[in-house]
Amino acid sequence: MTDVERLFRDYHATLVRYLTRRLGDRDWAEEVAQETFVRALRQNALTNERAWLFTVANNLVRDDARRAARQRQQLVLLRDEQISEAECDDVAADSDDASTAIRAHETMLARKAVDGLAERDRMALLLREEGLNYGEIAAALDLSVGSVGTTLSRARRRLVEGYEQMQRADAGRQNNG
Amino acid sequence: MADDEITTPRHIDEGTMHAWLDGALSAEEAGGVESHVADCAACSAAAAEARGLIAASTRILSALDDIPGKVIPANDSAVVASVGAARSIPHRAPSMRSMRIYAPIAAVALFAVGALLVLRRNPALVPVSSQSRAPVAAPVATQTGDKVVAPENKPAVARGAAKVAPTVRPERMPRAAASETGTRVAAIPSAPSALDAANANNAPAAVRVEATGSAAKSMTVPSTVTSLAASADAASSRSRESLGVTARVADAAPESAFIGGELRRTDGFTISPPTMTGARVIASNEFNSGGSHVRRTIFKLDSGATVTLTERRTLTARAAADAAARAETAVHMTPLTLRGLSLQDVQSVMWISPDGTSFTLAGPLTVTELEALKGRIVASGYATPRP
Repeated sequence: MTDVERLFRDYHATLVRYLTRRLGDRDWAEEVAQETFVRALRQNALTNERAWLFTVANNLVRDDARRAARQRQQLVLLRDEQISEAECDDVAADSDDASTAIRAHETMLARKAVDGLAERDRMALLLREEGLNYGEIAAALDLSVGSVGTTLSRARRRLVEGYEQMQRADAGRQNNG
Repeated sequence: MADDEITTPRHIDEGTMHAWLDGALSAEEAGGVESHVADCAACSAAAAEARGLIAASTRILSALDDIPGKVIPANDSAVVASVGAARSIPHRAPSMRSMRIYAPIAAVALFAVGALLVLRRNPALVPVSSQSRAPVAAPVATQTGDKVVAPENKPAVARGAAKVAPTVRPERMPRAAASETGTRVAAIPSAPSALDAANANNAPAAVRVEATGSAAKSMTVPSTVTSLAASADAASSRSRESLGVTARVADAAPESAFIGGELRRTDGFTISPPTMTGARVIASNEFNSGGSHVRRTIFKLDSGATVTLTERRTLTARAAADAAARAETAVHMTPLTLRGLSLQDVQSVMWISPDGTSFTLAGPLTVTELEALKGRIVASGYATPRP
């Protein structure tokens, strides 16, 4: 097994999961991940592989986003509309499977809650979820190590409170029917 | 933190609390926090709250791993609508349906340069039942001035139960780099009789032909297909006479979408995605993303699992500039994602072919199974791992 293959084995899944959570788009996440590993090929040696991979992935997303921000906005808007409509249709169609419906709804709430975070807070939290330590997170986000804890505490609080608030709003709507 | 700060009974701020729970503090710092929390009711409660937030965050974020994407539905019109909507940005793509190529075929010159002959059943010419429709087609090499431009590879794809063998004559053929703009000819002979025969026999086939660069690889054709080759040739030579050649200007790495069994490219050419034995293509698309050309194909295996093959090829600077000038963008079409699967279930393998294309194969299989699948893709001539 070559080095890149090992690197891939060790980190591809976690990188894709991080990117999917961050971008909300599995296809885009896969592309960025693939490009990240292609770039890793060009490196002779990586001292901290995980931090490097996530840093490069973040940079790719940032550059990609800059280049196509305006256009993607339109696509994302359209796609989200389609998805939310489609999800409703799906949910209606799959309503036999209540757990599917619940899961789809939770996914949507989670997506909204995560998107409600400031970008750096979101990235820090998602990186932490992938097991990066504070030093790696600081390196990937260009933060001081000392501020990672504060960033994470803020992100977690806002995520959970935002999510719970939406849940309450949902429940309220249902009750008022 | 200095020693005197640790020993002073001061409440722990939230950031430090989380750092402690995340194991990010030094042993000394952690010890200080721990002993304080043990003695301080307020901080003890704060610690409990922090633990709750950490656990809740993990739980909420894991909900994002459920992929809600939609696979392209069987209904063409719905697909076209969604694709069309996704492409509402100004794009020079003509309407998908209007860009059908009516089976022109290569001129004699093509064969002089070792053209690749692929059978195509043209839905417009041959009435087919929806069940047995076998969309196929690959643009064939043509001559542009002195330069021979060959299209992307693509063998036939059969829809429905029959995995039909396209007939391919294995010949060497140079492949056009994405940057070469030139005249491409859709040489798509129609030989319905051979395909009908193949359909009837339900012959599975995996044909994937590709030539790379000037050092063209020889193409491999699995033995299951060879028996069809003879009959197909006969049929195609008949149709050859009646069809003409259509030339179009090709753009660098045009975009495409897979609609109901046929891959329609935005420049009007109809191509077919790669096939493998025991696998059926259910969706595919190509697009330019940043400086790369990406093609994604989704296969449904006989076992029922769905796997995705993603290829990524760096565009030349010129092609990338062309794409940027036309405001092409990555169409991140969620319709092609794997539906209903948690990320935990999906594994991936990746490899690089000699020409620098990177491939990722992903699906709800074990890595061993994916490696085996990769072997079949590679064996079909589609992609070769780096030595």
